Amino acid sequence: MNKSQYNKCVEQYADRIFRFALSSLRDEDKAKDVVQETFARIWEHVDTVEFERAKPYLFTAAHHIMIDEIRRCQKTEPLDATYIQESISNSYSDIQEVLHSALATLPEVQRNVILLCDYEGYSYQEIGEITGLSESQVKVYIFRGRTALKKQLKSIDNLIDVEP
Amino acid sequence: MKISINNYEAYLIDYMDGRLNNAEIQQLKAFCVQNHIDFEELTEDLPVLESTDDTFDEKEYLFKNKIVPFGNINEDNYEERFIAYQELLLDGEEEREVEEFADKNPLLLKDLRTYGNCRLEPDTTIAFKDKDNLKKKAVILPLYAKIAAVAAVIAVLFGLFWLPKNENDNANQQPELVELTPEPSENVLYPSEKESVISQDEEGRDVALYVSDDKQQSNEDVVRNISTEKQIAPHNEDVARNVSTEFLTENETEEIQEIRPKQIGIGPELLASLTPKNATEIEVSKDFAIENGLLPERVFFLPVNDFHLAQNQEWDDNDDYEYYDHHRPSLIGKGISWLSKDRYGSIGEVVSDGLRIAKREVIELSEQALVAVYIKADESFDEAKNRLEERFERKSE
Repeated sequence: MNKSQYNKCVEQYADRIFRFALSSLRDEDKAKDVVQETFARIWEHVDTVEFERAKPYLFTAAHHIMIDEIRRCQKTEPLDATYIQESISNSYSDIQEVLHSALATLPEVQRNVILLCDYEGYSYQEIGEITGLSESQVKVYIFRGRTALKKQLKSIDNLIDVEP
Repeated sequence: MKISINNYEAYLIDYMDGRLNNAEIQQLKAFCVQNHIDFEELTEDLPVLESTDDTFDEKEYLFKNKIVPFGNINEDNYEERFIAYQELLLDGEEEREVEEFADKNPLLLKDLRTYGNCRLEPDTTIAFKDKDNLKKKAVILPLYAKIAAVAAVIAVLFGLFWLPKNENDNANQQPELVELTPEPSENVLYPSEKESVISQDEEGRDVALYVSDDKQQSNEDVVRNISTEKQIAPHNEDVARNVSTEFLTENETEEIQEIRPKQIGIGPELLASLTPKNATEIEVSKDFAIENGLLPERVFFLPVNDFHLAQNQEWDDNDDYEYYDHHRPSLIGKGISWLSKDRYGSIGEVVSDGLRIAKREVIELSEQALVAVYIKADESFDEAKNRLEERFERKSE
């Protein structure tokens, strides 16, 4: 990949990596850091990465950077599920917003495989390559993640129903 | 298809994606019934996320700008040239090339300036306060020690300078043995007659021959047999004069010390025991070597009066004495005990440097200082031995 192709990658994938990271991390600054770090990594290997393989390379790098970031934060800032639950119920405006908020309650792997599937349309096999999981594992995680999201939606529905 | 409790969710996903045939669907449903899994509930309206429209607004930091090459500077080497520019390593033309390159790539001007700001300036306000503790105290020898050092003469390499002349002399005539009678000097501390002895080491090897004239205490030749193959290294100046160098380790120096001459009396038995095998070196005076036409393979200037200096001086119980005592194995007899061994990488360096100082200081004090000559025993050994024997015989007559 040459410099021109690298710049094309920035143009094509920076926003998508950013969305992927922002949806997963729910933190704009950290998401920006992920994008910067992701493109820094591909630039380090610009001579060996083929342009055609740049997209999975970028998402794979972003996935690993996020996993590292999440684990690092979990050691210092334990996830407050109660707070997230309240945030979801108090601030939603449409179903997608609720879903994105609820996404934060999922384990990081489930979160990322759903995002890769829904945002980028990656096949299970491709997601498996990016995340290092088997295709079957990807399916299981996606199913469990979606089931959990559905439960979140239902609980919000119930909450709305009982509110005066 | 083998459905288990661990993978049935994957099959549910496949079902929802329409990837299962009828038989597989039936098999999956049967599994769910069997395991009390609500198939309909689980496969009903699973949510799907829609991508947001968030954008990354810092792309300009990610883009890599195209670099326009100029002259010999391009994308691959411009950073190296920038550093060289700031380090003032380039000539005028190369500097102009860098400046032109930077003009054509204005986005790199910042990099060029940054390299210029990367130089570190030492903080001269930071100082080490305990310098005094690091300094070495000078060892000051008492005057009598210096005088003794004068007597403890010097080592000079005569080597190639005078050897050819002696070889020619030998070829033409048999040199006569001559008693050396240098004038006594106040600056030279000569061994007394009683101290003029033949020495042997503890294993009975003869290690020194000291011939004293009955009338002239200062008339002396010293022959020493050192049973080590190692040589004390001369100074670099001597090396430049084609003298081979071999540094001694401390252990080796102690080994020499162990065979230090002992005063056991005069006698020709030493000569009888001297052989090329056990006598790798003979120490004689410079004059003796010259007079007798000895052909040294290696010759060093070394102070002779080691024994005298070490045993006859009354050292005060102070640092100087301790210092001297500590370094005695390497320094005794070298007349350079005031040198700090810590300043040198090897005993050989100490000795050779000592010789240099001795040449400058001691020789100037007394032209009559005794000079020791170490002669490697080779084909000249027998000749030297014979001459010594003849001398003994003549003295005994």
